[in-house]
Amino acid sequence: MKTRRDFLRKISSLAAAGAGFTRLGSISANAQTAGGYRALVCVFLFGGNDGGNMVAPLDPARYAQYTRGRGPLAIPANQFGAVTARGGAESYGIHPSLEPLRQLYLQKRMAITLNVGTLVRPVTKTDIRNGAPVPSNLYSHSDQTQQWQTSNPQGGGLGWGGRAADLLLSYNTGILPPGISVNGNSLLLTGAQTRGLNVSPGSRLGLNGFGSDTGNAAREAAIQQILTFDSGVTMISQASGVLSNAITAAVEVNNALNSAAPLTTVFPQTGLGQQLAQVAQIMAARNNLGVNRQIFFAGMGGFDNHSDLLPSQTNLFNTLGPAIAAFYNATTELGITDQVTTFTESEFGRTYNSNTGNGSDHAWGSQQMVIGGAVKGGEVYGNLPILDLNGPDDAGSRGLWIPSTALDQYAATLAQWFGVQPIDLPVVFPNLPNFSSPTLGFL
Amino acid sequence: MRLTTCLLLLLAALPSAAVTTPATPTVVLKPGSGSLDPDKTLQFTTTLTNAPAAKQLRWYVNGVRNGNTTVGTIDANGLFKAPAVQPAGEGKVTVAVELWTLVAGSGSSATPPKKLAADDTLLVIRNTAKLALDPGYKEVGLGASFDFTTAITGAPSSLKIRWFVDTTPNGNATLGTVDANGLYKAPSVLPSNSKVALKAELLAPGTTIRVLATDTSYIQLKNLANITLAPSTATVAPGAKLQFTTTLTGAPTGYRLRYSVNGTVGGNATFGTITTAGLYTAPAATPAEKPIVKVEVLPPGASTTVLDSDTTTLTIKFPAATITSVTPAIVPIGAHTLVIRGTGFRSTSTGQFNGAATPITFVSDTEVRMPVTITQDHMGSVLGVRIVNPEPNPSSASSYIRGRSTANPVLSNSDAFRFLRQATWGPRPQDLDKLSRIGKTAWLDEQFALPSSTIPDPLLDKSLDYTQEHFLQLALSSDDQLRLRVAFALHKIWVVSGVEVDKSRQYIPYLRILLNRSFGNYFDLMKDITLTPAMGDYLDMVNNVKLNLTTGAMPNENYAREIKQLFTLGLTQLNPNGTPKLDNTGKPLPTYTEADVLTFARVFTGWTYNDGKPGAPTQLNYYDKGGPMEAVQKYHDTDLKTLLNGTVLPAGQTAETDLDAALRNIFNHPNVGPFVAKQLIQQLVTSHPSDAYVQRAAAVFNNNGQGVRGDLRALVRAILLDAEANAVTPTSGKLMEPALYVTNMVRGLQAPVTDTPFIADHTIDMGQKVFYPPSVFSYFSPGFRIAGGTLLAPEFQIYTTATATARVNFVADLIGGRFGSDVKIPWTNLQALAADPNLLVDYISDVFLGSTMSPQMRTLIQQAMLATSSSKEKAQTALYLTLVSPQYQVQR
Repeated sequence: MKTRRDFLRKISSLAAAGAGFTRLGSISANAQTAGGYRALVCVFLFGGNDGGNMVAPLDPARYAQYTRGRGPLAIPANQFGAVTARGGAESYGIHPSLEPLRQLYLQKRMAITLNVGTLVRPVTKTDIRNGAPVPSNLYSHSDQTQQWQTSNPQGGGLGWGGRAADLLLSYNTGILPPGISVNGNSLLLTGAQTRGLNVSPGSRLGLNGFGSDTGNAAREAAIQQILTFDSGVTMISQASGVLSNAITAAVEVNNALNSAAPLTTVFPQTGLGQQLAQVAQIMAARNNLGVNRQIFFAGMGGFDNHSDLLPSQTNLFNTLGPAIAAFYNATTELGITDQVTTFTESEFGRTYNSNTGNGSDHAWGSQQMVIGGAVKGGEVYGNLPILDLNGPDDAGSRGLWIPSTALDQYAATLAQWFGVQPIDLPVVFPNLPNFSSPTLGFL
Repeated sequence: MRLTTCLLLLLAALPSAAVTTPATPTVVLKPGSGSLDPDKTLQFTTTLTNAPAAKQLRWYVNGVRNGNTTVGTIDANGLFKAPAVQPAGEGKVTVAVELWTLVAGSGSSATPPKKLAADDTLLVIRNTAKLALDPGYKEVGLGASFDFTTAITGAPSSLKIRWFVDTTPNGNATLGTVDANGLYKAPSVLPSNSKVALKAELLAPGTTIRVLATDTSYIQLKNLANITLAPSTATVAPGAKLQFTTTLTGAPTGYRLRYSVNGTVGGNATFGTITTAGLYTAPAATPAEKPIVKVEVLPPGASTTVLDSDTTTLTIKFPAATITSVTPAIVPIGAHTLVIRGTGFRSTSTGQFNGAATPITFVSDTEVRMPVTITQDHMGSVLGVRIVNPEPNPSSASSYIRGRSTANPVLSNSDAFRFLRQATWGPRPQDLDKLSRIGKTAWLDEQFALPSSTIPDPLLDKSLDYTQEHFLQLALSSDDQLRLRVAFALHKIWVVSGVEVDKSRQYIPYLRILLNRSFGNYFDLMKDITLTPAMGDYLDMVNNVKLNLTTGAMPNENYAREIKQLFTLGLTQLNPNGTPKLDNTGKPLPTYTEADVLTFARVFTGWTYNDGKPGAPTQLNYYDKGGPMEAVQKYHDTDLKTLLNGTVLPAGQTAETDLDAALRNIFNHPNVGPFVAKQLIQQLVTSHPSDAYVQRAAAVFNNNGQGVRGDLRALVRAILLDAEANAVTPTSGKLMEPALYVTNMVRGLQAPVTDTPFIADHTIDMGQKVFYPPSVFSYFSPGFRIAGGTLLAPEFQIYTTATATARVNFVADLIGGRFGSDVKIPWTNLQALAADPNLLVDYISDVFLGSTMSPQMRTLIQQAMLATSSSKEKAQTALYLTLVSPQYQVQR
């Protein structure tokens, strides 16, 4: 007997080449069979988060550099949430509006990576002057957003999360792809063999009917047929593939979500809060979904603060902190704290130097945060640049910090924890061999 | 008998022997007994003794010399021939022979002949006659005749037959009659015993009745009369007439029909009357009970026996209107009188044309006339024609006609459809018709000449949502479709988002610039947008001031960067065909450097909100009083600036002079043509244009033919008239973005929208909140490529599994009626079409797929329609499946 799933699978494989949930082909020989459940959750801060004020050095010498560099953007030292690192040798301030995250840092559930950015290989200001390769289209939102998701500073390509997921497909048994976005289309989740599924909060899964039951059944069957028609037009087969995947996955996800108990953790009624609530709810259904490796994409916008940075960032962090903290609590409720790692990305940092509108402009390296039970938290990784405008670590004159740690290293650390074998890391991150240490040790 | 005769003969002979007189002559006949079938012969022989020489044998049958045909004949030699029929007396005949002397002498002396001896034999002639009646059993309807056949064997066929019904010779009126030839005629009424015997007797010849043979058949008499009254049910209008007809079989000749209504022969005024010929006249008002008309078959004569009957129950009410035809079926622009034929029309009927009440002229209950005025708006459409009957017994009937303005289109429907998907917010049937008639060039000329839609001042004081709704309403219904479409395309390039700029006082002037400059010059657009406070706010040029020597704060780079990256030049230097220029290592050459961004940031300093007062402001204003931004010279960076391509702005220039020169510097960069051309092609026509297409369009941007650079009207014309715009290839086309997806549907459906937020609200679920793109990178990026592929497909950036589902569900809600009266789909027109699935699917293919629905899709849709019963759900099903299909969602 032909089951509904067989039928849907067939549709899926008939749909546009590459767009279906096909999972044939190169399953890595190194893929582990063990490991239980592990999930990565990316929180993308769209617009270019001003990392300079998210995490600032508080030791007097560097804080002086900070105030000098930031001018009107500098936050008084006593307003920062102080933390220490490296055995108390260094002290940092976490943005006053990120107190919930500072608490996680103090509980050693959060680590900070300093001055991360897109790089082809390690470079100095001199190297750049001498024509050393740097990522294409630095300072451009669209390009850097893409590069943070692909880890391909030459532009284009597949998402690093999708490439990692390609290697780990054998961990999962359901028809669901490993990548799930709760924030629109995500290049991060696009692999050669998998595509992210979009399960945005509040969006309806599955098709609405109307009219008679027999009419509905006939229409739904007809839609699935229409999606198999070969029009010979790529755009049509692409659209068919996406919709076909949606219909297929809706049944699975709906069933799984309906079977999982609702979470008691209260999430903030913010966009990000609801996205992360959706992620947690899907995690609660992980056993029913047959998934052992999942990578989620969430995000929030508004970080492109060319003017009035201080009040704007305060508002943004008042959304960011409670949402991530609630999500961490939900993983505790689910008993998977050690199996879920949440991390931030943002396309670039911002000029240390203020503009005349009390904002900061597009720059390069910046700070990112990693949260979870598996994280070796309460610690910073990497180093801040020398915070002198026009100084040796400034790619320009306004504090466009040359990253001291590559995105590739940051992401490879996450991917290795996720299950990618060290030998496979350069498959996912082609430029990784350009850096002396492939991973950063925060996991 | 024979023994006795023999004994007598012996006794007679004895005395002769005793007296010894001359020996007595004797004759002995043989055979001495026997039996014989009729018509057979038997040779008798004689043995003579003592017979004289002169002798004579005389032969008799039953005493008759030589016999006869009744008893048999015998000749002089004793050859007996039996008669044809057994003679009376059980066939016993006596054959006798006598021995006579001959006459001796002659004359008076002649001795008379003398009998000397005799003998006889008793012979039995058998009765072989048989009579067979056929058939042996027969059902005969009352009043009907049946001819029974007889077969006679063993007797001459000429013999008479005598007939009986039961015991009555030749029957009677009760039992039926039978004539001498066996023709039975059934009675008109069933006798008490409906099974009668038909007996035939074969009579021997002669006057005496003697039955040679007999046979009997049985007749089952039946009432075979069967009458059917037509119509079997009917609805009759009060006072109207209805002629009944009957179909009758098995009735006796001379039958009579009797009509009654509710038991009263001939009916009455309450239930209606009926003539003997079956003409019914309904009562003037609907009676309490339904009239039952009955017809009865009666036998001939006075009998009241009913052989059969049938009834029809009538509903007395005004019949529902039906329309069987409307002529003309295809109407051009102008005044016409539609002739509507059908049934059930009343003098009180009213008419509707295309949803609007329209007077009609009542001709008869089968014809009304409707004068209509057909306009351009009706062209290409299905136009509903509807007749409505009032109380009592209200009803309505629908049909449709189609408007078509020309029989000789200059453009195929497919081409017209493709063009209008590129140039408008969705083709309506009348738009397809018109474009097919006048052609693309004339259509464009008309669009370019139309006055612009306006955004009225009262909206300035309302929230931006009202402006959004107003714009979408314009997109749905305004005539200047191309301008609105181009303005929206320019909005997606020159992005100001309501996410940050949410005041109508700022957003409306921005939109007015887009509308005003849609067909204008790109430089003017650049300048207007640069100075509009909405953009000033959005990308931070307002109150952007020169370097702060105290804090070291530098001019804001935001606008300086994005005007180049997103609005005019892009990141990499372009060839005339839009492909990137590469350096000798194969890397794209950047268009500008970070230093250039800083320089332009300095150019864009010194501008503040318009204070609404005459003269230049002297201070930064923090309240937008309307109007373009104004310069405060003291905040403008007046140092020397080196722009792109080495152009130098000397020190000491005003903000206005610097701005104009810098915009001119950007405008004249060779990237602008291919950059703008490619994006407009992507916005209007196809996501992944060929390099050659970009190059042709860019050349028109660079020079409109009269030496003018940046002429958007010429560019739009060139883009839409390019051969590639009309080409369908595997890589051509574009996914309709949510706003266009919805407006295309609503316009194609010709559905008036009374509550526009329904569009705005639902495109959000589909990933596009109109006027609220998430960032300056718009709703989707022109550089977005299909996942894992090389094909540019901007709209796919917001086409996810979630938004794809939302699209389908929007269609379900729209077609399924969940938006209630917010949007009024003219179902009656479509339902009228649904009666013929081919017509409906043809129409949908014409209007929503440019007549390109594939045969397999057509089959599939018609199959799905079969699963539904109501004409509305059929129409809904066909529309839904078409509108959700990627074949529709992708403009190609």
